[in-house]
Amino acid sequence: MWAVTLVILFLLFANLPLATAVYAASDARDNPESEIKSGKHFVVTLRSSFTPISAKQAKRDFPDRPVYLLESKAFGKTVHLVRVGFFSSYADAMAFRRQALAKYPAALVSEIPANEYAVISRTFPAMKPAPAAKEIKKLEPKVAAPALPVPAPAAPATGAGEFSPKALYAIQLEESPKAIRAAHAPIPAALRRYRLYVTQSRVRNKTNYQLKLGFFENEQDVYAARKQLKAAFPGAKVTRITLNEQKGSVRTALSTSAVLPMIAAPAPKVSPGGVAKTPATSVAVAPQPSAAQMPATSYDRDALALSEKGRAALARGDNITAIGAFDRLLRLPPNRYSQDAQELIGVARLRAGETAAARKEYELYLRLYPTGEGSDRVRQRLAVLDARTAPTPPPALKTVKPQMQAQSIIVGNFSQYYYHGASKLDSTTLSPTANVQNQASLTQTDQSSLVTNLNFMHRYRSEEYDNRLVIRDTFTKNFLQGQEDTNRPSAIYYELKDRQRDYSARIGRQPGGSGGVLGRFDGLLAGYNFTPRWRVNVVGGIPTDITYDSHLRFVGTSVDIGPYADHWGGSLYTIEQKVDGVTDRHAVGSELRYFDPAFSLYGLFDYDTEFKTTNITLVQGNWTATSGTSAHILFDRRKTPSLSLTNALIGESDTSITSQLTTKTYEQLKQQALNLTSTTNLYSVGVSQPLATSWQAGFDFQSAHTSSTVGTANQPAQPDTGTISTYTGNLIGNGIFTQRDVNVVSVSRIKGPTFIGNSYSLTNRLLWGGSWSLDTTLSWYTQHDSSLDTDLKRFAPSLKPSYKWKNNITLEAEFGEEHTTNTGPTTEDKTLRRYWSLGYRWDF
Amino acid sequence: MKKLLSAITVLFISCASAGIAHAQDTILDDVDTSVEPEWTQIRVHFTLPVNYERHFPQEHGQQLQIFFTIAGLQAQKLSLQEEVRNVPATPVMPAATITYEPPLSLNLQRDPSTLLVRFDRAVNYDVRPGEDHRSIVIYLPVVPVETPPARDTADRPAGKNNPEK
Repeated sequence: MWAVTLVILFLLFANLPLATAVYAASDARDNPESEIKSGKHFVVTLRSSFTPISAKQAKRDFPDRPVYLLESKAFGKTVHLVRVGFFSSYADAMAFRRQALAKYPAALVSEIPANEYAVISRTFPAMKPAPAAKEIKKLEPKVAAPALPVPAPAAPATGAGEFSPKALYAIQLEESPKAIRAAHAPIPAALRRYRLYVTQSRVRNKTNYQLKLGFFENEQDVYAARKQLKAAFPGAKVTRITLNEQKGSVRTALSTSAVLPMIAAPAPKVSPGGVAKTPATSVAVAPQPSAAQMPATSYDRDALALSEKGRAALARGDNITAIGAFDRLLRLPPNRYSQDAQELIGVARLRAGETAAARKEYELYLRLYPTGEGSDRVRQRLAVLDARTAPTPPPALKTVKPQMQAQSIIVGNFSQYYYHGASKLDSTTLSPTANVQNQASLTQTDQSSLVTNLNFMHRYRSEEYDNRLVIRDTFTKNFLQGQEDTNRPSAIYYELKDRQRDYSARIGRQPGGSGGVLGRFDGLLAGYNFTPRWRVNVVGGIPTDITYDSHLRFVGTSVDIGPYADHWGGSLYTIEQKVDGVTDRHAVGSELRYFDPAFSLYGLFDYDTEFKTTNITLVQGNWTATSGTSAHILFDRRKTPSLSLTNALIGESDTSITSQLTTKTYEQLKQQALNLTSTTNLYSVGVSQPLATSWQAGFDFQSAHTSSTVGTANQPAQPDTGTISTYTGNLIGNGIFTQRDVNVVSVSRIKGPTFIGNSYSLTNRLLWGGSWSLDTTLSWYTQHDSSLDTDLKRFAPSLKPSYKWKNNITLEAEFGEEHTTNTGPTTEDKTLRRYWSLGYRWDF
Repeated sequence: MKKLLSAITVLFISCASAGIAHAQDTILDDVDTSVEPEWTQIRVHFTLPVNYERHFPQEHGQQLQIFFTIAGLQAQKLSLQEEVRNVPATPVMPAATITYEPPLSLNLQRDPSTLLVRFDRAVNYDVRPGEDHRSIVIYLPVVPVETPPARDTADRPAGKNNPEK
């Protein structure tokens, strides 16, 4: 029990920083981007990586399209993506992908969420592609996201047709030789859904600025609007505009709700606690000169001190102090340090978990300093922030798979290995009373065999079908007298999946293990998805792992359910197995699954209705943190062997149920089966933690107990094993002896009711050049049994070199020894076993 | 080639059919690969429920070891031999050899088994248990070879961690 406590404490200790990260993420989710429009947008994902990657090459390759970097979450990890956009249809994106494949062989089409499109669109105002006329028609209605620089959110493009190529009327409200940053009078509420924007014209070296409101499809609408504006803007006039002006207006849009006088630099309000609140965003803001252009002021000294204080606080992680310092700096009149402070307060707020406030600080920065290197950087920060806070749909939902072309593949391997083993036993008998030693030696070759393995799979996949033929077979040719050759076909089956009608069938020798089937069988397994979340299966066949002189067969059915709530799934099953015409096993059961990239849980419950007892209760789970810490648990309680009537045949010379039933009743046989079946309880818990890039430590605790059996006249009762506890620590490192090696050091202590054992092992796997590998293993085991007063020592070194020849042929060998010494009160047995193997594997 | 392989298979089965023994349960089932827009995945299917425990190295290397335990329904019937599956190379993924290794102690119930994955070159990856608890999934990010101009050496952050570049 203390081991479980130790593991829990370890987990808590190891993951304290994680709790903070989760809090921050949760805060981010509470502040979703609200300016998102619906609509499908496609991009081509050129490449991805778990480590930061560059988009420069792609930008060179596609200068006329927006190329951007994005961080995405997949299976709990950050994936860095290079994407090129945007395409309004899957077909357009596929056409582009085909062109890109030569240089980007992994390029694939992805459908992106609307918020990604909105964010990237506005961070690449100058990177809008110049699509063909046909493409413009598709894209125009979707170029509706607020653009930068924007004093305040621009008018939403919800009106039908306002941003269409046909809407080429606008109203010029006023014209001025000075830059216009806001309307001098409010826009009537009914017209605020239109875009207010600024254009400029240059006549005879003189620049004029026009404030316009658009866009209108027909004269009736535009003149009706002008009528509403006449009172506030007596000089308003209707103008025809070009499509380019309409498109370009996104970059010079102003707020329809903001009016002059403008506020030069809004001072964030300060809360009583001293932490600045989010700056207001609904006011017009004039762009500020950059730091380089800013003249020296009398405030510079104070500003410099606050800047240095803020930067130092930021560097040491004191984000609250940093926010306070930058906030005070920003409350000073504009100075040389204002620009940096405006960016850094965003950084500090983000690190402090104030995601929404950080976003607004960045947005304010871009309004104040819309151009220059700093603005590019802040746009990137904002893009990353928006992508981070945007809900990321599961990978399967956002991917668009290209249409599959029919393909036929054969994959597998064929191998032959010769195994040889020889043992030498030296037995010494010590008679303390006579003080005489008797020695005896025995030497023998215990293994000489050629093992041939075939693993063959032919798969034919098309848009409609997925067929596979699988053959796995092991043939052992024994060269020792008295040992027969054996052939073990572990799988010979044909499987058909109809991908469109969602049914599948597999016939032949196949592995079991689900739906209540407890092992390999010859038979049929078929299933049909009658809804996307419900699947019904039927199974029937003959178990193959049977050595009794009885005939078994089974039929069963199961229903697979899920996924529900994104994470839950399971199945229910019933199965009946007959032996020589009577019930061998009749079970109902269920599997329950919870799956999340970071945490998963699996439960199995099997109840035998014939024996009216639980056969299996299994719960296992694992958890992986983003920090790399992982933990696993297991609870397994089961009948051993698995409960069935044929358990009654254990120890019997007559292994036919039919014969047994001539002398015993069915109920007596059931009781005999119960008497020969024990119950095993297994508990396990473990944790592992990366210590550095090259090291990982792990600790496992396991407790196992197997109950006694009653036994029969032909099979003695088995005693209770007592609780056997195992404590294992392991240390795994790579790059220790050579650059590419992996080393595992494992230490275990095994404690049983009458014995204590210690196990030590070291495994080194190294690669040498492009073709060689060598696995070296050293293991050492000691055990003292107090009930028999015996000591066991075993030392086993082994070497396993391999050489890869011509990419698909691997030559392998293994050389090993086992030195075992078993010392009792009166005897000492020393065994030396030497073994070696040599063979090849052909991968095809 | 396909005909040759099929002929070998039929010949092998027919020659070996004499003296068929009851099969021992193998652990490894099929190995599937699939390419998604942002990663390639190798899904190793098992014939029995397995419990993923840990893997190492954490996210980069040429040799990957995955430790797991088998919730064996009939542990005494399980094979204690190595099993090998090979994964052919694709334009976005190196070839790999996947080897199931029983624990040194041969005590499947007590000690974790190992899945040794040897790639033809070092790769970035992540390892997760499969949703069905009968598989383990290895994710590899899709990183095709990029050829930046010779003078542009500063802009290759991915290359630092991707020796294949």
